[in-house]
Amino acid sequence: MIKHKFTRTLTAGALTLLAAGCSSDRLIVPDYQNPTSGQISSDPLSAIQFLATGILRQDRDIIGGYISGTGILGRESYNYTPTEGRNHSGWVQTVNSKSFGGVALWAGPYVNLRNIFTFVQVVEGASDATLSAAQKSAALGFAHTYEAWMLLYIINTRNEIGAVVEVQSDPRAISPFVSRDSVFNHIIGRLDQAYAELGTGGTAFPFAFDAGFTAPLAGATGTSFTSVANFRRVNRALAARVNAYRASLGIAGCGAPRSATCYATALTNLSQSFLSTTPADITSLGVFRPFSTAANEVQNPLRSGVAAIVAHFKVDSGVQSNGATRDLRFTRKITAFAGRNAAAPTIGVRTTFDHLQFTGAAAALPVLRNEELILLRAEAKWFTGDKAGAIADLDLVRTVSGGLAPYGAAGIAFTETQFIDALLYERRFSLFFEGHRWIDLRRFGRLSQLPLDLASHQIVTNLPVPQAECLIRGGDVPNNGCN
Amino acid sequence: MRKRLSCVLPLLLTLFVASAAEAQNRFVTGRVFNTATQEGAPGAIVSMVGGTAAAQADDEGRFRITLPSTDVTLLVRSIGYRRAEVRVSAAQEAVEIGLTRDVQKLDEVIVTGAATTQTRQNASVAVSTVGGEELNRVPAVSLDNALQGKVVGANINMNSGAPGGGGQIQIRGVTSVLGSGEPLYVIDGVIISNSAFSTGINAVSRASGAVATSVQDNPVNRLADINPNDIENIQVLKSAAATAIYGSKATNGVVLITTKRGRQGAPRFNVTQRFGTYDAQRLLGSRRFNATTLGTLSSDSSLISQCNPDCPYFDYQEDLFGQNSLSFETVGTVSGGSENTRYFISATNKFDGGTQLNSNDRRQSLRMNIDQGFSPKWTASVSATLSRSKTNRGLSNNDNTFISPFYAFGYSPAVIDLNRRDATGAFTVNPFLESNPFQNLTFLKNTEDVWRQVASGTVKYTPLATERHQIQLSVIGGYDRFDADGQVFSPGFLQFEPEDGLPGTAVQANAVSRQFNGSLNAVHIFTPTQGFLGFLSSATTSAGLQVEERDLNRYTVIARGLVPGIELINQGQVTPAQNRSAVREQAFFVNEEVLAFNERLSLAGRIRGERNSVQGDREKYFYWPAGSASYRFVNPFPYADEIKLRAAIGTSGNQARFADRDTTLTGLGILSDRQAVGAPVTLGNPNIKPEKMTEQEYGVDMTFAKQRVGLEFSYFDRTITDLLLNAPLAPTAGFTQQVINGGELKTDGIEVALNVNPVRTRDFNWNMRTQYYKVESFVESLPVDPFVVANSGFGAQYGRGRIAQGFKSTMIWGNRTLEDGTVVDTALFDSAPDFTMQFGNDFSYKSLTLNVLFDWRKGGYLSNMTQNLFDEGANSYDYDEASPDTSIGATLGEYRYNNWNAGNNAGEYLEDGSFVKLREVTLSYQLPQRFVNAIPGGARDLRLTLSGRNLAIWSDYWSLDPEVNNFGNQNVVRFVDLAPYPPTRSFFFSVDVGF
Repeated sequence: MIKHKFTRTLTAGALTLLAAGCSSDRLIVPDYQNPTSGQISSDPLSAIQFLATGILRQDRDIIGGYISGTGILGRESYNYTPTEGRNHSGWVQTVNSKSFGGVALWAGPYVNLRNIFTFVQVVEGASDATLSAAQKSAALGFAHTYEAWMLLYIINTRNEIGAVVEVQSDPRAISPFVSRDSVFNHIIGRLDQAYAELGTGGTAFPFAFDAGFTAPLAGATGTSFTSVANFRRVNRALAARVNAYRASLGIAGCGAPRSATCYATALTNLSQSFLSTTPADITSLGVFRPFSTAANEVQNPLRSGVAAIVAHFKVDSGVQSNGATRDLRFTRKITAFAGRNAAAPTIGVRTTFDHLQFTGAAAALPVLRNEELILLRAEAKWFTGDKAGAIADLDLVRTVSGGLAPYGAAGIAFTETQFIDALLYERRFSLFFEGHRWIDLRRFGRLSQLPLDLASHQIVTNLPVPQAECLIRGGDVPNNGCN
Repeated sequence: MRKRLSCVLPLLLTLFVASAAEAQNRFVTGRVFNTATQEGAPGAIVSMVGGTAAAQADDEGRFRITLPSTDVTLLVRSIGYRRAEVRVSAAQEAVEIGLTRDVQKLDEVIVTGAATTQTRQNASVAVSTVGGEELNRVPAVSLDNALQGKVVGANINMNSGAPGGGGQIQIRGVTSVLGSGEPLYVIDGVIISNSAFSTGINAVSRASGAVATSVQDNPVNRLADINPNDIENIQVLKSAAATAIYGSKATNGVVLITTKRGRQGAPRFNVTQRFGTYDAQRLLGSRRFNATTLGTLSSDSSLISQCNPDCPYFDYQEDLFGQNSLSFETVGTVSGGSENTRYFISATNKFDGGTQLNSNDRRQSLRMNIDQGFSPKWTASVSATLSRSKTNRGLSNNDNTFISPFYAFGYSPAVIDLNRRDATGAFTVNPFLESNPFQNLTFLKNTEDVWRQVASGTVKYTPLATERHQIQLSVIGGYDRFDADGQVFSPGFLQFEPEDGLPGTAVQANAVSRQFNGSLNAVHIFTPTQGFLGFLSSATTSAGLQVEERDLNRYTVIARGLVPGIELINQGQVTPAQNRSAVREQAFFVNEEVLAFNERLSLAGRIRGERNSVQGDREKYFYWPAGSASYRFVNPFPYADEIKLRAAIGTSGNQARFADRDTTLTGLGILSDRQAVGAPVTLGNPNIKPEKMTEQEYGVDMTFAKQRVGLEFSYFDRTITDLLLNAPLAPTAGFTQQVINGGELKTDGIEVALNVNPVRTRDFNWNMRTQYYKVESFVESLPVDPFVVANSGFGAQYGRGRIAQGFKSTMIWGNRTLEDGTVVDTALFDSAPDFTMQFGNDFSYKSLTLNVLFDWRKGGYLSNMTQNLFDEGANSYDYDEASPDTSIGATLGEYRYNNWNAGNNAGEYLEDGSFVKLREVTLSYQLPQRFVNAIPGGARDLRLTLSGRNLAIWSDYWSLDPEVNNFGNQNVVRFVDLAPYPPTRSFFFSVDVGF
């Protein structure tokens, strides 16, 4: 009897064990934080909006670091974080693949190239019923404009090392480095392709832009760049910048540095851009990156009064005046530093200046302004032989934005060196702390004009390639990019 | 729901199968006593061999048991005594059973599975146990603190001296880089969480940027909620052969905590009252300035003019960390029970005053453990506890706003009284930097309030119990639930606050954790007495099913720019964040333990099959097998009582992390009111699987001279493969990394414990315990490039951990300048100790006992960034001492800082953290009975105790204490000393009264 029960018990126990594990349905737990591409793409139209906002958001997240980093390199600003001196020394003192400067301004734009890759896949994969041919074309024009823009950020900091321009589907695939000239030519090729795509893109994008493209941020005259036609003018403004860079650098296909070929193209680009000579438009019209104090938004990282980012102590050298007052751009953008210089021991330098340009956590940062376009036109006109036109543009900016006396006929008589001096002065204060000074001095071969704060500091021509990239390529990066 | 029932029902049904007929019964009474003193052995368990009858001895050692009317054998066990078996004939009505002291703990009960145990003597793996009495001699801030120096094979370190605790137990070296580094904690069968949650202070300190929470926030790991006073004993399973039944959560060992339970007898009421205080073990002081030296740091003439020529000196550190407030603890317990019902109830109220201004910790807990027998076949037990821990954590560690006091002190020459308020109540403005630590700690709030419930229940059914066969079926289940409520408030008027242009910061950081685990177990014990299996002493087969769920929901809201006087998050600019995870697990296991040849040979084999929701293929079972064997040689030569040789091999795993398996896009936040979605930083891997550890363990346990000398020696060798690793992807591909399995870690070490009982007389007993532990962890192979260990340090300038093939995983890597001036990033020093040793001495003379515990750590380097702060601020206490090389620096401090050369010579601030600490001293006196009897209310006993923790440290370490870590609990390395909360020593006076 007992034996029988014993057997029965054992059998029941064994059966239970065989049924072990219950149902594996219990094990299905989603990733609560992150959407899958399947979840996103179930509605392609909303997917395109999410991903477009992703591209714009990633772009916005790059700009603060780009301006402050190139600002340190161009001696416009300091990163004065008292508890972390490497925020500054890693850019101007010890600069290598591992330093704070060396690892910066690289991964961000490439992440955005991946975002653009995903965006293009979804756009191209959408059925005609969801997305019309015109809408697809507009979306691709947007994506390719942004692809060019991201690569411009990269090549601006890496310069002669060159860069990678191709994104592949396999995340483990390693795309090759190409030369600086190839990158520039790739960028202009993408911009022209995008221009053509936008041309067949109908009137409206199948997604909404951020506040940086819409009035009133985009300009006092209320221009909004969110229609396909107006975004096309942004594309041409960027192409004008790229062509001016190509011309001044003498990129393959543009002839010797400062020769007319690509400057002529730049002039064409500018005529198709949003350039405006209306005085009210000169400083305010442009594309901005918006910031906000709202939840899960980002606040302006460069705003005045935030401890870390202050102005360089020689920022006032060479500032002009009209006899009575200093250059209005200087007084508008720079003020006395009111902090306690707590970082002096770490950085070894004390400054007396602070930025005044971006007030408040929601202030937008400029990325492509009308004032630059006028100066680009001055530059392009000069080097294509229209000296009077060039000085007229220069004077327009000088008088309206800087409150300074015009050069007039004296300007037309400038030697090339004098013109470049004048151009760089206007660019320095018109585009102060917008990420231009270091790049401008470099493309005109004048980096040596930058002041050295300490004997141990150095003038950096280009940032190296970050260690993470070097390691994965076994150090195989051209032009000593991993040093 | 239906699905879960479908897997539970079959086993529940088996519980109702079969019910054996009752035999005729008789009563037998008896007494269990200590053969040395003839005193009764209270609480001894008397059970019938081959039956279900059992009884527990009362306070005088007396018991009454119901037995069948045949000849039977009784087995008697009592904690601290060797067990005994006696034969009781059918005619016998009373029995006297003498027990001898178990000095070497050979008869200690060792848990081997969900429902099985064996004695330490028969264990074929190394086991460490700590009893409740040993644990609670000196009050501790947390359980990890109380365990320090008591477990061989584990490195137990506190992260700082902040009230509320926070510490790490690392068992047998480094086992993982990305997976869990924490042991599994199981309390009365419930798997509990030991997570640590930040209060959100990072929003103010910005140690890790502007986010709410960071590992640098000195969080409390939630083991701190477990009340050490309730613990009967702790068993630490180290060997994979023992932990294999816990599968993929077991590479870091398993800590089994058993709480106290009631025993049969009249209700006993016990009260313990403790008073004491905490004191900073060591403070540093700072540089004494004169007019010249101050002039190099400040151009403020009002400061320099008060120097004549020496500047005034204010002892900031003593002012801020010299609080010495009264700490106290009250513990009350009631326990007792009848033959069928036993209960243990305890209540604790504890307050620890911190050494830092306005920091403290309050604990309250209530526990109820009940055991109920329904019949000899059916028993049930329940354990439930409710606890509350409220910690005002103070400020410490890394920071980027100078709110961490030692950080601010490093750069603030102590020449002006910062701890002074003017007539309006305003604190002195710090002329050196924008923060006044005295003001901060007066007004800043950084608190965590945790309510926790842990409960478990067991139902046991014994359908069959004969002399040869016993079958037990049991259902064990339990849950652990808590909510941690972290609150930070920094008012806008604090000197550092206007920095971000948004004065006033408040953070609400909550974590809700819920864990459930349940198992169904079947145990068959076979005890052949004759026949062809007669060589077998016993064979225990157990099998079971287990399910587990772990859910965690964390949400934080930061608010900046507050309305003055308001500390709620709804009145500022808010940044919310949320993180949720859930893990589900299903497993089955089989466990076989065989004793043979008169219990000389012990064999064990076990296997667990498991699948869970975090592995890539959720359908697939992973198997974790283990086996072990030991043989005891009894009296092999004169004076040798017994020599046991043992060998074990086992496997265990470490789970993938939540969402490692998922390839997704990621939310990037908001832009102009729209949600942004883009590429994630880390790409998931749909093929991810658990890390796998294989361990071999060999050991010998010996006792000599009638148990006066016991020696345990173990060698272990662990190989961990399929490591979870972040394989870097090219940044130009748009991703940072992907999670993969690969590589191999190797860890080996030895553990030695020597227990000597040199004097044992009726009045005087002296017990001496020496432990030695050495472990080394290597990176054997690595399929990815060497990489920096997350949260291990602050870059090559200061030293940080790096995983590189062929190197020890515990090395500190940093910059070294070579002869030719080039700077290389290289392995500099080992952060792991060469070895640790403990020396414990327990003396008792009549009613007096004295316990002394020393803890020695030899070697183990730290990144002494606290020193770097003070040197960088030209403010270290020894700054003006003679420079070893004046061509590098004019004074000692300048020499160190210049020699460090902006981090090109990281070794300058890496320092040996060897120490010897007087961990614990306890002097206790049991009052004579005649005094006790005079106490109204009928007291039974009264004990007075003086105790102290960390009373002395011997160390050449420059900073506060080598036993700190800025990053809290970490898997691989912990060596960053950066402005910590100063470690403490404590002094307590206790009174225990029993009624």
